[in-house]
Amino acid sequence: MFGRRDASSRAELMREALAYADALHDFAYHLSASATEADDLVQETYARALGAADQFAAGTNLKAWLFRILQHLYIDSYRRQRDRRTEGGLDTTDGEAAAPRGDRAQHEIEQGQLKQVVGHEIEAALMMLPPEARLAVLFDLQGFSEAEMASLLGCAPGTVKSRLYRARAVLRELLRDHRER
Amino acid sequence: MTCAELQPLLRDAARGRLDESQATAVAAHLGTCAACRAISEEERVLDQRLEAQLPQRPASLALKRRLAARLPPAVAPTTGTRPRRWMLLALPLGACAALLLVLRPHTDARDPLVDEAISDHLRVVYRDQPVDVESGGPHRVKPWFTGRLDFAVPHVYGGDDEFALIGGAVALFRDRKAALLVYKRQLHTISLLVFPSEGLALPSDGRVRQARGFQVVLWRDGDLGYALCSDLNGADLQTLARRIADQR
Repeated sequence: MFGRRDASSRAELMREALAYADALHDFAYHLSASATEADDLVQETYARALGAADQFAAGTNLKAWLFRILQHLYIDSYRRQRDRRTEGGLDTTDGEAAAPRGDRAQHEIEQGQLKQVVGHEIEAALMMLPPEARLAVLFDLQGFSEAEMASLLGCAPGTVKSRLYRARAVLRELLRDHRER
Repeated sequence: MTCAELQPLLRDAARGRLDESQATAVAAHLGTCAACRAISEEERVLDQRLEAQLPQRPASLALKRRLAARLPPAVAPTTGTRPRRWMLLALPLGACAALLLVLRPHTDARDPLVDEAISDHLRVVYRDQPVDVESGGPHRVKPWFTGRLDFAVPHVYGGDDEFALIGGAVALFRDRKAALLVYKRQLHTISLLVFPSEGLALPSDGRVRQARGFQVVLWRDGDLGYALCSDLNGADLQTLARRIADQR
């Protein structure tokens, strides 16, 4: 399955990889909340991809491979800075945030509030999600399938489903809070 | 199905990932449960906001130039060399391998039309100028193809708020000329090729096919074939395919 690529096929692979520069940068920015860090992450992703081109199996998912590299780079960088941060993992998030509200009138008010949310508030709310939750939301936005997300996040497809649901429920909650402030 | 069982499935329902029995169960539950229906609506609104209003952060031109500058140089293939002795030995082996490939079950084979659609899509993405005529709407793009193709493009889907038509160009699909239409949805480029379908085994199910991280929808309408390709998620690509097909 794997084999040494010659210079020409490595160049072709990397040209194909360049098609994802915008999507990777968008992903990196929404993970790191910094344009400079996003640039560094994307550059490093391509450098790693070029170095590991021999390990990429032809015909498999190049986009998922690049996103996986960037995700690992981000996690490494995040861990290095973790002592300065206070965020907890999504899996430790209090379930109350995701609890459904039963009252219909309340829901109608919330929907109205959500519709008024503007871009920077959505971005701010997304940035407030813990990293695991943000990863799930961003991978889903990128259109990755559940199986691909499970592989990228290193968990079972069932875990992806519940993690994504909880993450989006927290996001809805955060967006409501933005509106109420 | 209980509310707790249904709610994690709402995402799959929105993405079109449920099988028929699950989709029926979800629809039945939503028909009777106002609370879940409201959450489902909230999810839809959240989706709309995330897709339409979350600021996009594409790579800057400077970063793209830096990345491109680090690419290894393309190596031109060597031509005109004399056949070597190992090639003479390899020929019968190659014939055997080709025969094995032909006899291999079709379930394992990659669809060559899907591969073609992806390769054509990548050519669009690589081009500095992906279109030759920029969109000023379908009435500007459609006439542009007149005289440039050996068939008439019957309709051009002019795009909408979700899928913006960027423009058109003439391309090749396998051995024939094709009308290329390029659409955008956020950062995703979508290419549509329209070409004479004669002699091509185009599927009729309108299913989304996946390969190399791309989604492809192929279909036939009369004498013309359609290939829609993007790295967008399958449900959204199918939505665009339906809008294009319903344009008639």
